[in-house]
Amino acid sequence: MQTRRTFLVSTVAAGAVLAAPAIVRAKPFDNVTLTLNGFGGDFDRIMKETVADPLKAETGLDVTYAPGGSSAAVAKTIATPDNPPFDIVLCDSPSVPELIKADMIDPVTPDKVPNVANLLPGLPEFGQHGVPFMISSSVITYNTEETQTPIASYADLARPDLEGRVALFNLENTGGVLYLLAMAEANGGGIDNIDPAFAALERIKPNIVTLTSSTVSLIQLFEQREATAGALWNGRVFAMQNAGQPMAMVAPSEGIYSLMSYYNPIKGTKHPEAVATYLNKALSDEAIGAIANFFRYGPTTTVDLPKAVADTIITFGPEGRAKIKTLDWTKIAEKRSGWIERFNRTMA
Amino acid sequence: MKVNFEDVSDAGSAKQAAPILRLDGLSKHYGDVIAVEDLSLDVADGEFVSLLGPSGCGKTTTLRMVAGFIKPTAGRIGIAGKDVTALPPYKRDTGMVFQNYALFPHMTVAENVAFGLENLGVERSERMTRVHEMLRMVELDHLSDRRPAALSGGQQQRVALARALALQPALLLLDEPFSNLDAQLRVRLREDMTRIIERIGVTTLFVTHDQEEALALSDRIVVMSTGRVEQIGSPGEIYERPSSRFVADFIGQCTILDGTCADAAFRSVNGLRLPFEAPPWRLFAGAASRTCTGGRGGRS
Amino acid sequence: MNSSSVAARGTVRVGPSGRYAWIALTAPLAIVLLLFLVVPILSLLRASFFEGDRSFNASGVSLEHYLRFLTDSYYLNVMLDTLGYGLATALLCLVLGFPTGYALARAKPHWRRWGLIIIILPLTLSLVIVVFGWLVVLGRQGLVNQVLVFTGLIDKPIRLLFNSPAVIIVLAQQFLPFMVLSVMSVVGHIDPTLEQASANLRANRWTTFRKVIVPLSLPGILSGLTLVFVLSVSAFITPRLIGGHRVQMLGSLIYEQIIVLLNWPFGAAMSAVLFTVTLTITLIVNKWLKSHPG
Repeated sequence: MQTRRTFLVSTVAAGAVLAAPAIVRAKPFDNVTLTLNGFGGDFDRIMKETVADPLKAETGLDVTYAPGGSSAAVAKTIATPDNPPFDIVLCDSPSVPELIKADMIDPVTPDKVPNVANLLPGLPEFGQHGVPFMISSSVITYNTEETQTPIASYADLARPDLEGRVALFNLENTGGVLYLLAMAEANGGGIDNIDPAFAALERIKPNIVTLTSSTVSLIQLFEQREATAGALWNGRVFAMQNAGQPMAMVAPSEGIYSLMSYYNPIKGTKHPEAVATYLNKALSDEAIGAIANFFRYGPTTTVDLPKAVADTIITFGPEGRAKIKTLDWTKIAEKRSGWIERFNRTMA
Repeated sequence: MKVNFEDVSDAGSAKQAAPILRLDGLSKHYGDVIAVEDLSLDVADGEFVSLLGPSGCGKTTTLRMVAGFIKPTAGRIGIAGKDVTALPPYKRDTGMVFQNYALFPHMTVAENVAFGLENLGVERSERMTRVHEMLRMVELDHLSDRRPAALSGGQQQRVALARALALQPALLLLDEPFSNLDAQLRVRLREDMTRIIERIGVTTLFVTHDQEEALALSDRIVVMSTGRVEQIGSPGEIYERPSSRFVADFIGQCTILDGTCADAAFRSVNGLRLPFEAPPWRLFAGAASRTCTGGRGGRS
Repeated sequence: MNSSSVAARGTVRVGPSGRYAWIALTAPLAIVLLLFLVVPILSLLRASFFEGDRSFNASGVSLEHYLRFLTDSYYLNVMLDTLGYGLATALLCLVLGFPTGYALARAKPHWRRWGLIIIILPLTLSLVIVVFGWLVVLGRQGLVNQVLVFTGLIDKPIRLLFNSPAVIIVLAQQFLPFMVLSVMSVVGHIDPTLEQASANLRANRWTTFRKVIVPLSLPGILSGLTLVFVLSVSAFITPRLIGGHRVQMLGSLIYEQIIVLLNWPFGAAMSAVLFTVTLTITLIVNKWLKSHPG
């Protein structure tokens, strides 16, 4: 199936090239450069290998991945609506509502980007705004050498045997928002009733070593055994395991709370066709599969993965997909500021 | 060589007053460079002794060794009968007037003078009395609340003297105190300062490169050259009977003749014959035994 | 030629070009400062008075953000904590930096050059790298714990991170060069014979330090303290990573409002308050320095 669809995709691309006006041997996007904010490091490398390099060969398109965080990219884009610095902004679910509110996203339709048909049904959280390409989930992780009893849920982090051993994200990192919502819903609350979550947090508080917004910092805490249990992104736990760290990955019994990473085509781009071509390529099985394979974050399309890879991705397959909680990020965006303030006050 | 200064002072008391300052075989080498070599000197109580020589002769190095700012390479230093060679500056009974006066710019004149007394733990009322006594002595009592920057060079020098004397040190050290003043002022201040020093009767070691100053002020002069003592003597002796060609050359204005000695007379290279028994002139030995280099005329 | 003709001639020669030359000479810097310092600060101030918490297309004039900050004991406490951390860091830098600055000022030029290079080198490192380095050094398996365990002072590694002393130490390490350089430049102008004069006047080293060196270094000490204080109170990476959630400084909260919550008006208001406080302190110190020259 994978091969067949790949074939179809290339055929479509080839057809587009043939249909282009007959400038002899010229490629359609010669001298066109798209600017994206990259996620940095390995992510940009995989993007380049699976999307940018093939596009350059096929269409002459140049792609620049500008360094810098995605929130900064969103802020810059919103701040300069008349001359946005990016053609496509990569950001996670929480930032998309801001771009929508600022009316900066061009809707994506299957006629322009055929590969959106491959997205898992019901997955996109914002309709035709943005194209999700990766699912990052909050999971429980703990050091198996230092933890006697397995940890199965966020609530377990309040166990007395974990005193002074727990490290978590704060709410500046969306990972923090995910466990907060998980604990709210598990205790009869939700986005509109967050009190149960804070009550649960108060129970964990005595165990907490530190709270941080930095993923790198949290990983370092676990690696140095400054903390031995907590919640982290599934892909990052896989990376630690891969590096030989005795860290367990557990889908919390409260449910798999996730966010998605989106490509957002920005309104006012000078090259809408190039953007559509880029998005189509980025949704190809090669690109989506390569990211899932490398990071072990969940793919957003029906791409097939080898069993060894699939087994390490908790949101993969029908069973995994069923556990994904979809969230109302627009509402979360409204509430988040209040939550952060409350979090700062109660957790300090 | 180790000298027991206690013994020396005991023995000395029988014959004459013990020296206030005793330098015994004092040397200072910087690597291969010799700054001071084997300097021995006794300065008696109340004596005013000058270290005189051109720059680089080791006179300032000697003074700084006495004050304790420089550690000697060899030799001993005794002040008021006490071996101070190993003691830090603040445990030596000296008062020093620096070439640039080194007044504390953040203190008033009175505070400058009181500084040493404070450090000795002299009680406040007594301190104030002593400070004003000192400032009256240098006729600056009316400026006691001024900062040093608001004083003239001459006034600053007097404050520095008052500050050094406030502690009633056994030994006063003067490091070219007049060199920063213009010529006219220099003579007047020199007289002022000698008057004060004479009145107090403090033993003084005075460093200068100015032969006129040394001749005018000193009881005895130590003429130094390239780290070595050329001659020690009263101004009259130094002037009239220089012991070396260097001293003769350095002190006063004179005529030096090169020539040879024969038949109980000196015969200069251009034929002038001076019989040995006819002063005022002096003969210095030259390198060759039969050649006398130079003779010193009187005030020419 | 009398003096008035000289003066007249001088005026003619200077002429308009001479009189306005300084404008041409300072214009490039002035323009850069205007564009990249004055304009952003003014727009920050403007943003702090916007109504509501919208960051874009905001309008109106309101004191709501200032009132929110100044009437909430939580924010005021964080503000006080921040000033406290700044002061503690400045004092720690003084204790650590004064002897170094003094020694460098009195060192031979050759040693001073090398000393300066070593002092300044850490400033060339990215702050994030420095902070992660400290996370390793102060960590459970870090150098400090290893030394403490090895020397038998503790039985097993203890937690050195995520508390205020750790934040103060790491901030002090970052800003120490500013203290060292301030002290060094002032001590370099203190006549060394003053120390000899002090020693001659029966002051031991400690008394000389207390009564001569410190008072004369005061301008350097104060400018160093001000610099370190201002830099410390605006820190946000260090308190966030080294302090964890227990050490809250205003810089972190401002960062959170501006970058995470995109509530620029409130973030701007907090920045304006912090800016005003640090500016006031700087002005007071400057005024004092001017009235006590040398």
